[in-house]
Amino acid sequence: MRSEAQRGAVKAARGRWLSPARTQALAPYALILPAYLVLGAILIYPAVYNIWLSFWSWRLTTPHLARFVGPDNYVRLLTVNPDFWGVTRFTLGFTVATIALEFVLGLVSALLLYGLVRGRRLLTSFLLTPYMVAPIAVGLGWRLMWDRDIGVVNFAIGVIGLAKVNWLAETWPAFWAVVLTEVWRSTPFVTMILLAGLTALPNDVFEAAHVDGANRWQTFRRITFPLILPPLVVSLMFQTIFKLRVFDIPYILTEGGPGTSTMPYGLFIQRIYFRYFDVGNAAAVSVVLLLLGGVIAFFYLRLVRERDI
Amino acid sequence: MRRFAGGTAVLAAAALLLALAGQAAAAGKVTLLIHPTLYQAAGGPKGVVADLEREKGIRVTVVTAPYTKIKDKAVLSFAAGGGEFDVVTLIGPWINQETVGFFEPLDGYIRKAPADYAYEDLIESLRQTARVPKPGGPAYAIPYRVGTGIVYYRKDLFAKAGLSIPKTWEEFLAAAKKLTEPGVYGVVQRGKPGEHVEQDFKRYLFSTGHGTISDDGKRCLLDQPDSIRVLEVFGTHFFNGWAPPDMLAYGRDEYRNAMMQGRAAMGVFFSPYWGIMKDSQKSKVAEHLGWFLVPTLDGKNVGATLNSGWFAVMDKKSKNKQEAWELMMALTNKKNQLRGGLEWANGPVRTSVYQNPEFQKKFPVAQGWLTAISRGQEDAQHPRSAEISDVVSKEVINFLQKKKSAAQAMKDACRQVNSFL
Repeated sequence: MRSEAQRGAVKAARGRWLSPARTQALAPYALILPAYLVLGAILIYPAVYNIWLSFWSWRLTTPHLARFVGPDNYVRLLTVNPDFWGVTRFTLGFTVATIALEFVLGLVSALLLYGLVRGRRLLTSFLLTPYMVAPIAVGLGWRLMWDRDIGVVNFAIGVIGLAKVNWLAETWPAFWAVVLTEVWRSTPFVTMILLAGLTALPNDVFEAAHVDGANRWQTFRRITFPLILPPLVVSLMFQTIFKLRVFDIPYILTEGGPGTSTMPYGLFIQRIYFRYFDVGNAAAVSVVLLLLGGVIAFFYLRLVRERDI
Repeated sequence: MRRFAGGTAVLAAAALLLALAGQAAAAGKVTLLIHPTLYQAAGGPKGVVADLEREKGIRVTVVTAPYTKIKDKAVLSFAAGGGEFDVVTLIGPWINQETVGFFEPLDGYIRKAPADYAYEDLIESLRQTARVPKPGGPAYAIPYRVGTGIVYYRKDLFAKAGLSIPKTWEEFLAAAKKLTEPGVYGVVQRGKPGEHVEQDFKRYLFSTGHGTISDDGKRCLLDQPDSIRVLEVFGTHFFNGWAPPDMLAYGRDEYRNAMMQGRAAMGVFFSPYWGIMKDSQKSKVAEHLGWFLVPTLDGKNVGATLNSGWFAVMDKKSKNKQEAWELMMALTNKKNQLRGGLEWANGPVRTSVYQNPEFQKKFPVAQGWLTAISRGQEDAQHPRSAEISDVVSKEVINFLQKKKSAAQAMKDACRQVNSFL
């Protein structure tokens, strides 16, 4: 039995602990805690576990032979695996080419749409169509269009008197076929982001520039571009991460071929895990991809911070 | 009164549920993981599984998964402790020293099977595939469906060119050259990476009488002179323009369509494609289609090629083993194999089906299939068969892209394959 004095002391302590000021300070943490718990369970734990797995030699078909091998999987990946560097080259090349094309085309179409007085909404909806189509349908449709003998691309090339191209059967044409298909599919996303940025710009700045006699190029270079840089950088970062982990379009168009010349990390990981059941190596490649994405995201974020955008 | 009526209703509902549950338990349940095409080849929901429920009271829950997913699903389930799927359909190479640890040995069940099940009627080469290790190891699987390599060709174009059936690869190449004309390629094969080019090359390679690795699984055979020669044959029609120049982008759809649309004169095909190629609704060449056995280097033992079989295995952790065995017998017994072959486009695994007059009448190619299946062999049943296949795919493509000579590609392939053995 607690004495009256003890009960009073406990009550006082509880009162101090749950003082209004402290309650107010803790409330935000309490509110975001569930979200962090969910994130931890579905994102952080699997990521950490994946890193842990990358230090193991473990095939799913022989779980009893699993053993800790330290950095062996990474060493073998970087020095012995015959496909790793080719896959890295393709993934980076694909990322750079698609991002560059998408941003040039996206910016041009966003500026053209922004300049429209009538019909902008209709045209914007129409332009979004490729992004609304399922990637598998995009891939299957374009696979027919890139076909050497019956494809519409070679038909168009033939009309202007050029020779047929083996789009999906030779290394460089296959690379560009995959890049251009992805650009066709994803450019509308970039256009939308940039158009949203453009429409949010304050009108008075442009009016002032106009009054000061700035021409269209000067207005774009000195005002429009710096002002849309924040959405531009954010969408650049997201698009880069999406491209690094691409899977669907190369898989449907070329299955990574000819040979392994259009094989991205996603396909490579899928092959190692689901065909070879090699958990350790698949985890190691995933960690490399995670690091690559992390490094690129870090530079983007630094750019955002340094430029204060 | 109202309360009494309500209580009675609850009790009646509970009694009904208990009765239904009891009936379900008595009937027996079994879960089957199967490729969708294979399920259709068993008549789908109205076929073998419906009969089994009606005749033996065994209810089958069917889970379908495509080729690239079925092994993942099975292995993930086995690795997680098993018991999820009682019966799983797998291809031959997936039945090997590593995976059989998950499977129930079947010799005891086979011995107790009724006489009319006729286990010996299952094609010998397929029964051997189901045994690990070889020779004479326990049976871990029952063959359910098989296809093999066979040449389908245009009889009209052969007649026009005055060609007879090639028995050697040299004659095959000569025919390919003669048959090539504007709009028609002499021969068509697949060149896409992965199982496409790898399987098509192996249909040539296995004509040598051996596969990628030795029977004991310890030695790579790709660098043997006959393997190199066969790879040269595979490349010759491509390099000379007798095959489509974009063959490296040809997968299953492309090479089958090229034949069906009349853009190719012949090709070594997966035997079950006969059905679709003879369908005049889908194929422009249905009435001109003929077949011959896969040639060999010396013209002897013609027809020896790669067999591609599907097998039913039982999960060692299954809680419904007797019901699972009943299902396996139902899928592979004489009656359903014949019915599957005639009605549901299955590739039968029983000798008696190929000798059945009704089957032969419907499929004049039946004797050719049986010969090819009997002379052919399954792909390497090695735990690293997927990696070995990818090495073969990569090096064949290196050769087709002229990055390496045939000898160098095969030598490099063996260097990599040996590291898995």
